[in-house]
Amino acid sequence: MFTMGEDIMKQWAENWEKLMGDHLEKLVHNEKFISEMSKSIAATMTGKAFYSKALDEQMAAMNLPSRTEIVKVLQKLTDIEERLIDLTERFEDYVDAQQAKPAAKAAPAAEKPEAAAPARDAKARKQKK
Amino acid sequence: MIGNMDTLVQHLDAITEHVMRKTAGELDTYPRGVTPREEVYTAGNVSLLRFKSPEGVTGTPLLIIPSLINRWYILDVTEETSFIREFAQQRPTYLIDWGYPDEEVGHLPLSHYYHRSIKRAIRQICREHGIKSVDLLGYCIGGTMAYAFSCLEPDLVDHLVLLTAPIDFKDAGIFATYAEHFPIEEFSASMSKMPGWLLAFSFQFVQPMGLYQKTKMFHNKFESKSFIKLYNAMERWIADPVSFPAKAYYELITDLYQKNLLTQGRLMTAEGRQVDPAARRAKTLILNAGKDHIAPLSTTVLPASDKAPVSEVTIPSGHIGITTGRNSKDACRSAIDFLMN
Repeated sequence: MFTMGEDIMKQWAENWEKLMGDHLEKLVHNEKFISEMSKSIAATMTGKAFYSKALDEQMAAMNLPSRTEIVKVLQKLTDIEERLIDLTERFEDYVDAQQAKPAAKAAPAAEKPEAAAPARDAKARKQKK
Repeated sequence: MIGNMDTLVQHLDAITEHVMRKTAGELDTYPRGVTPREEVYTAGNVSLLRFKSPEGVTGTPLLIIPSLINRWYILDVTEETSFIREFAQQRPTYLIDWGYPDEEVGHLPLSHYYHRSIKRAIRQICREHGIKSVDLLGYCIGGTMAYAFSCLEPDLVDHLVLLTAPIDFKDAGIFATYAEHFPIEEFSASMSKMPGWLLAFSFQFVQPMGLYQKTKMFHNKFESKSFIKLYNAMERWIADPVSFPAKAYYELITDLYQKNLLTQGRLMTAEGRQVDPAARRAKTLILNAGKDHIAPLSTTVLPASDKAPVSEVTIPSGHIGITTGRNSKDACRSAIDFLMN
């Protein structure tokens, strides 16, 4: 049971919630508001690009690698890793095909070849996360 | 400035985490996903997880494609609400964990994720089981990616479940309006990732009373042990944001949200392959949420050119509620029924 004072407070809180909810909901759905906010974000991002470029030039003047250059190196490493994964897959497919050939010759034509062996890199290890 | 802001936020995060750990108790060690699992394959940041099924569980393996925007364990957040636990009881269940992508993958296109990564995972599963195709379930943007994959590789997908997956971005609600105005060129010129904290903030921003309502709900229900368990698990998930690789984010905003290329059959992979809905053959279940503000019902409709057999189930809940709310069991049961038939 609420006392009269608590009832009034509860009513006030509910009214506040509804008013604020309606107002903020309208605001964040207002296209003009969204457009202005986007312009502000665009200005911040342009500033960030300018600041990063200036910093890169400073680092270059000191003969030091900049953050941009380090990220580029990391991305090159990712590309090499991707290439290696692709090549490994091709190689595994080739080995599978070679192994399937004699098995297919030995087995009667109607029988299906045996299921491929589990992937070599599929060494299951317990997830610690 | 945003770069500095990012570093500042990281420092603040570290301090907050330290303080939280001192006071969090059980929450500190609350698991990221509850179903036992093992990592069976990794390629860069991406790994393939296999969940433990009871002895003798067979059938076409199910591969789950979670969203790139947040962590996968929303589908396995507690034992009571876990989709993954239910799936693993029925059939071999796998999931692609996108990890925590950072600037080193900022140059990779979206097709790297929706084509190359999914294909690699399916290849591993097929080699392990000696099969030619798998079932796919995609959640949110993961569903969009699973759909695009089923267009590109129709032979590799048997059944497809699209769980609150936006496909037609023509009228994608509040996020489409933000995407339309988002300064994507400035973003592209200045960032090599969309920071996770900024993405998380944008989700909170479109529901300005969300935090207040959550606090109010906590106040009303905190004495219930089951509520506190789910609340803590959800807080753990919310506090675990993921950055989105820049080029993939650029393509998500321009090609999907702004130009709606997927529905028109004009989306192209980085290798120049067309993502054509007309090529799809997988039996499909659209499992959408009636109160979804992230993927409204109109966005879950498949293109007219898509002639694959499709059924639809609408659950009366929101985008997250469909996975953890009181109707999540119905959603999970619908998916299992569809996959078993």
